[in-house]
Amino acid sequence: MARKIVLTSGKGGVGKTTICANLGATLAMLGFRVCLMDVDIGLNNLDVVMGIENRVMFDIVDAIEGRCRAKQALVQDNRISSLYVMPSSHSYSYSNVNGEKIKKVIEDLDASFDYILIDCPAGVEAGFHRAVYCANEAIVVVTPHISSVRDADKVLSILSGYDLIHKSIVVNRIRGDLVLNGEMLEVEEIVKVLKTSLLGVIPEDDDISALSTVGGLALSSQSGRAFALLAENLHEGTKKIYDYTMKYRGFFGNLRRNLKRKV
Amino acid sequence: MATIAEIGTNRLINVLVRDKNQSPARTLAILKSEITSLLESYLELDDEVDIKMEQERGRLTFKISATAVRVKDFGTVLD
Repeated sequence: MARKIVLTSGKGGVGKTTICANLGATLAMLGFRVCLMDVDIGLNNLDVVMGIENRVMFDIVDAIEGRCRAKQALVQDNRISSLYVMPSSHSYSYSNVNGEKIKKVIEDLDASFDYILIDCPAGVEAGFHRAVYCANEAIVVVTPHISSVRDADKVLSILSGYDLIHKSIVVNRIRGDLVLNGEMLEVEEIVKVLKTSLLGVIPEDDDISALSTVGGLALSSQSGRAFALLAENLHEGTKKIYDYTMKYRGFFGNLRRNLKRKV
Repeated sequence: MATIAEIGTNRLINVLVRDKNQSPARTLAILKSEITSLLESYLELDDEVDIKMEQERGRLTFKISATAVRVKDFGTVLD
């Protein structure tokens, strides 16, 4: 039986889809069978981030409406054979889609995977509820900005109304140099305010932006280590969190931090 | 002098406290009713109970003022 985990945030643009793609790829690299599900119907992006947009034959709406079986709609990743993507529809006419029907598609795939990661739409409207309804765990992605933490707090309070086994947060796009300079919210403060366990920290990484443009994964970039620790913590509960300030500490770290500031 | 991160943290806490306390008038009305009821169990109140709520550095401070004519007679306390 697969662990069904929804990645949500409330606020848009915090990196849900990027984290979904890279966390899924990292888990698949560890040998797990992983399915990434895009349930952002009408505003699908997971296919582009994964670089599979030209290979999509069917999508989740086709599976829901019986034009194909759930497995037929899956697209296998070219790089990691145990990684699959269930693309979403670009069409907005989804009157037949509801949480129960998406859940049925997920149940059809359940036995074939170890992890089903559900990429949730931004906001707390119907799309959000459909996605959360299908999951039994939730990861709330938050960036170190007041607006993002505020929305995450709201989302966590809504999630408490669902029957989820576990809720945790991932702090994305943190900059160790700014934190050490006292110019960015610290991860510890965010965790304290949200009163939710920290699953991982992903540093700001220019490579991720470049790689997502070409449909690449961040496994070999500087944040690859952060995704590895995130995946290990998710699977084994190692509690190991990426040290985002490490490269800015010590003599050379200080130098790097001050140079970055001047540039 | 506070750093940007410290200012940000305080702002964040203030925002969240405000979000969670979206109806201060209602909260005050409930508090007033409950505190009046509690005080009336022990005191003969002279006037209405007054409650002021202030928000500073992410914390809520309540100032309650009440005047009483006398303490009510509780009778004998048994050992």
